[in-house]
Amino acid sequence: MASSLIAWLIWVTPLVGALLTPLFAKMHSRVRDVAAVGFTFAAALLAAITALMVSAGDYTVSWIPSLNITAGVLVDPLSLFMANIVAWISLLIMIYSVGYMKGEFGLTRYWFFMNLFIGNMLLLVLADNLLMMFFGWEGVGLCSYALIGHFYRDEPQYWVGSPGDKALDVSEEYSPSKAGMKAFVMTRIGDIALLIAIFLIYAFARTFNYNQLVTQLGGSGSWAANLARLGLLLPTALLFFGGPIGKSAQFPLQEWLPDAMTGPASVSALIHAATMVKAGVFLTGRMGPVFFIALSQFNQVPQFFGVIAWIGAFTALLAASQAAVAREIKKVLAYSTVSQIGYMMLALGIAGLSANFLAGYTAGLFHLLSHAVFKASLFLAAGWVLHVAESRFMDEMGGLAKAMRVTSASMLLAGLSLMGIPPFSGFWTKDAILSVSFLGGQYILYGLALATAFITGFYTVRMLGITLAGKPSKHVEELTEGGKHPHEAGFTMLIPYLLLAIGSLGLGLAYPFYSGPLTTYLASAFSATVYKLPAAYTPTSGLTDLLLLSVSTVVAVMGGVVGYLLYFRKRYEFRTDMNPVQRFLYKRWYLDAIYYKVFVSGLLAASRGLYTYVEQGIWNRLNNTIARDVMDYSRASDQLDTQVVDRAANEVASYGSRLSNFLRRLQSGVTEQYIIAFAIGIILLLAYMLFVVGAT
Amino acid sequence: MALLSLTPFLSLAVFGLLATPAGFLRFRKSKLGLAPFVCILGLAIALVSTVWLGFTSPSPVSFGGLQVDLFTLFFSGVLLIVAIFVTVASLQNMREDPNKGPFFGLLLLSTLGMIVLAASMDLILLYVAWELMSIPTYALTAFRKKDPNSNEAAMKFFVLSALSSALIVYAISLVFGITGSTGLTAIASSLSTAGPDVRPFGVLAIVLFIVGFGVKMAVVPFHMWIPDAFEGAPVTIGAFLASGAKMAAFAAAFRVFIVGIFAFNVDFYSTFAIVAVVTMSVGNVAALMQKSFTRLLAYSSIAQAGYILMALATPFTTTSVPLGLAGGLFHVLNYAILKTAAFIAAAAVATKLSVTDLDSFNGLSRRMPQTSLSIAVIFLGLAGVPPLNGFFSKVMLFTGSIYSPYSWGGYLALAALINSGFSMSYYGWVIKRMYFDEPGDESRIPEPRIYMVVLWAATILIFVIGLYPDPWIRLVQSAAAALVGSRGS
Repeated sequence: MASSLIAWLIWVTPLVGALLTPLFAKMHSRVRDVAAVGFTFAAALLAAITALMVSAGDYTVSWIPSLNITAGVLVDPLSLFMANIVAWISLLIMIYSVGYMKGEFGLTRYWFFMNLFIGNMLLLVLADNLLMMFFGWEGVGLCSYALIGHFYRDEPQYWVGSPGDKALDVSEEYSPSKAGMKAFVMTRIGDIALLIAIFLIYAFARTFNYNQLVTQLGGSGSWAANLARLGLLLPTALLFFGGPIGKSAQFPLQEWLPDAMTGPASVSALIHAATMVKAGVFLTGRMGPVFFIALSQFNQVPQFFGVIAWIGAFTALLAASQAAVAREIKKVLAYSTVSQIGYMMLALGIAGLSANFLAGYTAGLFHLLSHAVFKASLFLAAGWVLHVAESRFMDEMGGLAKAMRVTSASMLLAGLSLMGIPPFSGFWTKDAILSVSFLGGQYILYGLALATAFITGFYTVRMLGITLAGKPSKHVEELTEGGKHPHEAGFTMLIPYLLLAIGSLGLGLAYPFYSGPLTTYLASAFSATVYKLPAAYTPTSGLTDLLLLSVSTVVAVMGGVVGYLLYFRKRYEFRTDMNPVQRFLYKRWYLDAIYYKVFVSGLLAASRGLYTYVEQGIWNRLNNTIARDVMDYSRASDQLDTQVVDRAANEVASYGSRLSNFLRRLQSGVTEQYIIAFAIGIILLLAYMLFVVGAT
Repeated sequence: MALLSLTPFLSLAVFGLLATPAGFLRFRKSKLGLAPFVCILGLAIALVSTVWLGFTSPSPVSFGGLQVDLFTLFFSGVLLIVAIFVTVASLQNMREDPNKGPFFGLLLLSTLGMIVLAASMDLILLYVAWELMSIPTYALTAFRKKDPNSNEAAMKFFVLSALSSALIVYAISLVFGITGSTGLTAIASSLSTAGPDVRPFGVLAIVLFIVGFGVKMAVVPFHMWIPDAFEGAPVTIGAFLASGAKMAAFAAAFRVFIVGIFAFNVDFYSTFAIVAVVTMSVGNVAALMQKSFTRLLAYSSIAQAGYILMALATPFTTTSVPLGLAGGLFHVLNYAILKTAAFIAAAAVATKLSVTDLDSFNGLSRRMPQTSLSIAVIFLGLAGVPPLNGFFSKVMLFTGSIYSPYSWGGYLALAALINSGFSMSYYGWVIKRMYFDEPGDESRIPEPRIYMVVLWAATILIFVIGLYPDPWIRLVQSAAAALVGSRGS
């Protein structure tokens, strides 16, 4: 009991912390800041204690017995792996926030939503059933929306996009509040798909619980079999994957993440790099094996996992290509995040496509870990860099390395990890993904991933070169002349990103030692009795492995060299006259603009059309023009007749004119139209019931 | 002892008659007079006795056509909570009104009509209750007799409502003609053996019932009076119409269709499914286009009616507690709380800003933080965001629809889900306005304390039901079972 309480407290603690934030804020701003970090620290400690001391299991309590729904915390390798990543990185980012957000307005709101986010994220990870997972899922979405729009006053320095950026006449500039809305609506599309899938699963399995879903898989009467009989099993799986696509910003719902960079850098690091966007990968990891077993009974595995793998590989390439031309430092990192998550999805997809499920599966999860570490570090450091340069544009930075050696070193370490250079952690995990796709026989996917590796090397070096190396830009020179010299961050900020960067190196150096045990640990979730996965992990022959390692490294280095030749030691100028390829990439393949035109403008136009024609009615509009003339006339005569002093628009003068006025309006046909609509409704209903239903 | 079961009805009737004369009496210094207190006392006694009856004597007690069972008690509980919220909130906006007596008296009498409606097992009683519910609301809608909008709204409301009453009478007479009875159980047993020659008349009666109840339930295309009436009526009466009258109409529809007409071998379920989809879609699409907060609430309430209609679109067997029906009743409860609170929040804004166009909601969180917070919670609840109360009723409704024996049940659930997701766009839009947009005027607005009491009570209820739905689900399940149980054997 006590041990299960610890597991519960992991996600409850930050939520309590969030709720107490306004109280602490009343005491003192210092108390509030310290308490906020303290609650996250408590959650991180609890997560570690759970991992070390609490035995794996499903700790449930009764919640809604009338619907056979229980609440519970699932302690298993996957959830602990994820919960510890989330909690510890959250802690570092919260510490960073203390320094980074100092003096900003709305700090109580900031801490409230940060802790609320962390609590919901941990709930998402630790929930033992789809329903509670969905609670957390919605919760992190709401917090993300609120935090993207944190600078809701929409000052220009918090926008994303260059002034005047347009694609197909759609503005590519996003204010914080607009970006928040965009993120919310776009992820919502995926959420609806996910919700439909959850409903379908519940309707057939009558449970939300993961373990019960797995144990009820066998036999011809299982929920999967019943779904499959109706031809719904594959659609359910695909709809379910819609949620991860939206949350993890995969094609075709990838467009919200780059604009979500309007939030503070700490938010970008926490939510849009390290944790929330990984929720999709986590959920795919959670339910992927379940769907694998379910689908394998009906030979539909390749379809589902093929979709995952292809979406992942395509997104990886798409986003990397956009990162290669981006102008803003946070946008480079955002595209890069989308691209790296594409890698993880690719790995999870390959898991189902190859004979060795676990190899792909663990490759995806390992990359999740290493990416969380180095990308959080990069974002936090970038937050400081753009603070120093007082600009979000890379061409207004440059030559910062001289004054900021530690920050630059940290970015370099994390950047090398992102590129996949040995011995950093990113090298091992990315290489694992590349190898499984090659060994799984998916050569086209392997090619796409390899091309992505090349571009990744290029854009990483480009980013480092433009911002840190090279000559200082005019903007930086002006700042220096104005007495604002670039300088290192304070310790509260410096230590988190430095620690993460060193951690990335450390994880890489230690990889050969912990990868085996961690794989075994993660694999232990799939005990043969429950999951019956092709679990044997067979290492490939040394020579093939070595060859694949060197190919991926050489490709990444080549990309890096191209970037080095083009962008180091030069002053970079952003030019608006781009060549067609650059323009195509810079305008985000025109996808954002097309989506906007089709979905936002299109949907609004459709709604407006429906509203005016169906709701207000064509006849209504015709009559209204006549009615308006009559009304104008009567209003004018009212004013003449009664000479009211206060002529506020909504006040009409005397009783007599009021009466006549409303009778006039009644007679102008509004009520008649209602009755006409009424009659039409009755006739339609009657016709339907007599001729369609009655025919039976 | 059986007479005790009538306590809620008697309390409302007695205090309803007392409230009007009590309006002329007042404490020495108080402006309010006695009427509101008489009204609250009557409602409180009725609510307490309802809850007490629900716990002590859940087995049905019959008085001719009036049946007090858990279904009746469930609805009277919901409607009384709505009435109490409305009365308390009205203390604020009726403070200056000289005609408090009639106002609160009419409110009680209309509430009496509603709960009798939920208790009716006889069509004649049902009709009388329907009129008892409706007639006071016309006067209440037109209560600001110097406000032309109020008058116009009442006039439209009256014309369409009278039409609906006429259609109901027509439907009752048709049913009587076919079956020779007005009792619902007798109708059911007679309809189950009805020959093909009366079939068209039966179908006509069903359509007329759908339309007649539909006017009050806000079913498209019989909903057109609603935005006008909600906008024109005194705001608290908007809440009363949107939550009280509408839910009572659903109670009547549940009784008539599930106890009486189900036996007639006509598939009205698909009709309800179509009507539900059309209603929720039109409501949601039109809500997105609104520029006034009350009109937005009106259309969102139309959309919500569409979800509840799904309960009538799911046929079931008597052997098990029907999930869809229970979900429908649960949504009735949640909707009543959410919508009443939403209108009272609108009232809080309207009394202070004297306008409710959406532009005046920009940056409201900095001007009226408590109101804004509760509006945000209410809207998320209406959108069905977990863990608020609207989520679980939707889960039950949608899953119930998937269980439907008809193959279109899944599509109905799908349409409802898409609608539900779409509705987030306008709810989110208002929340964005309140929290992220710049107000035209930064000044802090004092928030009326009485409204805040109601809003906080509602907000807490929204969370309590959402976080621990089990007792409420058991309540609606037993209410649904009672409804099915009131079918004749």
